[in-house]
Amino acid sequence: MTSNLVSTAAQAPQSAVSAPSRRKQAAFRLFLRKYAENRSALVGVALVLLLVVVAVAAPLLTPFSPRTLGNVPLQPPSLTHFMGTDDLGRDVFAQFLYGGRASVLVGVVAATISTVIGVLLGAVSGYWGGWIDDIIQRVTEMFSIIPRYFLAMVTVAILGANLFNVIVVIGLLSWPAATKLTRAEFVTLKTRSFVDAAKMNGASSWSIVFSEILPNAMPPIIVQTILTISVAVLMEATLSFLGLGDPNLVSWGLMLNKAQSFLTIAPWMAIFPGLGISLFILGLNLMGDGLNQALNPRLRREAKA
Amino acid sequence: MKSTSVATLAYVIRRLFQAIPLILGVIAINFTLIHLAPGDPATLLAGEFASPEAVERLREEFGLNDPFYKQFLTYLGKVATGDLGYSYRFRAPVLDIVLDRIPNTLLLLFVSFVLSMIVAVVLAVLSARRPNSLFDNVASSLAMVGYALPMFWLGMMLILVFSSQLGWLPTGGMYSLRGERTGLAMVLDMARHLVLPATAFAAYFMAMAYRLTRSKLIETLREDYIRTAHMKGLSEREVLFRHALRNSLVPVIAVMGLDLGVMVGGAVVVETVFTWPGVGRLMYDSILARDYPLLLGIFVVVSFGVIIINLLADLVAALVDPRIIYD
Repeated sequence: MTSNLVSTAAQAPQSAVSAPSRRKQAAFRLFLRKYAENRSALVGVALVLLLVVVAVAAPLLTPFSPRTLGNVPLQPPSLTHFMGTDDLGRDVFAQFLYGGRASVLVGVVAATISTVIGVLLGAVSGYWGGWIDDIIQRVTEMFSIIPRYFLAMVTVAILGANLFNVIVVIGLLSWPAATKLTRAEFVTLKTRSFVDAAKMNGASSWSIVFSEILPNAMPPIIVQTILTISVAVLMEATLSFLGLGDPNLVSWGLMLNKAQSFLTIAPWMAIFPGLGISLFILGLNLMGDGLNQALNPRLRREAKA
Repeated sequence: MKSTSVATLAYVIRRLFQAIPLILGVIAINFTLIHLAPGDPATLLAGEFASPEAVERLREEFGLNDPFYKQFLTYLGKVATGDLGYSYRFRAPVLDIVLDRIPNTLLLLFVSFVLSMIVAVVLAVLSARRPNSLFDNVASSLAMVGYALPMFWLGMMLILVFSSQLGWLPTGGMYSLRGERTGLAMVLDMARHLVLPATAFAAYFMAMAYRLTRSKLIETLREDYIRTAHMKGLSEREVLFRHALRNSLVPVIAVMGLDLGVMVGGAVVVETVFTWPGVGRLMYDSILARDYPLLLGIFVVVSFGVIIINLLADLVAALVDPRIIYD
């Protein structure tokens, strides 16, 4: 392992043509190799990819529609209905596939909203410091302490349970982690020499923040985004489970809400959607941890220790 | 000694003052929500089937015809005097209904927390002693899975196995319908009802506390003073429990305290699945009934509770580890 590290690092500066881009490529290859060495991280990617592909390809994978009422309700799993049917005779496998779409959609869009808010606040807070830093830190602390789930429930209940509100509310409540992380990165990175160099070249503060510091802070921000997706997926499932999801959207949480009344007589209605949520969250967490270890040499050593 | 107690007092006062903006923030959020709602805030608070007189009375009471800042002050005054509105469904003041349910939720939270901390710490010590051993790998993988299971699904699966299939434990509620209502029999009956919801709740705390304690312990065990303790001839057990664990637990509790707001959210789904008569189940019932005054009131009370527990956790951490005070 150590010899690989040395040889990759030594090869990069040898060629005169576009050394920086070559070094970046070498670093990326090193990262890929480190990531591939981590078995649980690979399991994570596999799980996430599988669930995303299955959700996207839903219509190709099942002849059934998640909504069409069937003749035989509460059928146990069989060769025609892999996951059985629900109380209205609808195919649970089809609902499972289409339900994955809701999780992926809400998770990704809400996490993107959170990351944009978190990075903006964290960058301003960490780069400029002073009173604006104080205010942003106070607000961030407040949003990490108040009971986020209760606030999400009250807000969606009052504003109306639809897809747009669910995504926006989850996005607006999940940014504190990204803010804290980005702020910490900016506080460290702003003292580096490349920032001084950019300043001497007359770069504006905003251009330093976005073109100099942000690209260097990206790796941990990406890891955080993946973890935020997993947080958003769980929150979406929770809201749907409590009847606060979009009633027109098939989702794993809504399936579990319905399954509650038939738990004993039709356990398949409850088992599969819950497996979907758990595996998706597990995959995202494993992926986030794996990325973190592959990107952070110190953690890599600790994991080995 | 004297300067220490002065510093401690100053720290306590400083932390108390830091809680004030938090409390004001929660009230401001609630106030904003009332006004963000589609339609007339008075109609929202009075409920769907209120008479025009009731709506008019609420409009008067909340000063909804006043300028905005004055409305906020009116609302602030109401919250400060414990007036969180009136639930038309329960025909009772919101504060009374919520306070009535709080002990049941606290019991569930407390039992889950103690249970998970004990199990997590024991497992973390065994793992950290030999990192990457078979035991560590199995425990760490289980923690990863426990961390990913949604509490409500885990609860449903526990009911499926331990109530429906095996018939060992009740599916929900807090007491048996025809059970004893006095003495030890009542406590035992309640304990039987508590096992499954507390387990569903504890799995997540356990996974989190295990992961935090394990990594913190591994870090601590590499410190110089641990090596010194070993060289002094202390037994491994003494080094682990007296030195390493004590210094690792404070940051763990601090991190868990910060996540408290997320954790209490679990009370809603766990109490819903197990029909446990706490604040969480009340929340679910109010969502179904769209009982807005009650929803908003629960949010205020739970937020205040979380802020207070957070404050207490910080103070306890400062007492255990006085270095925090001087940070």
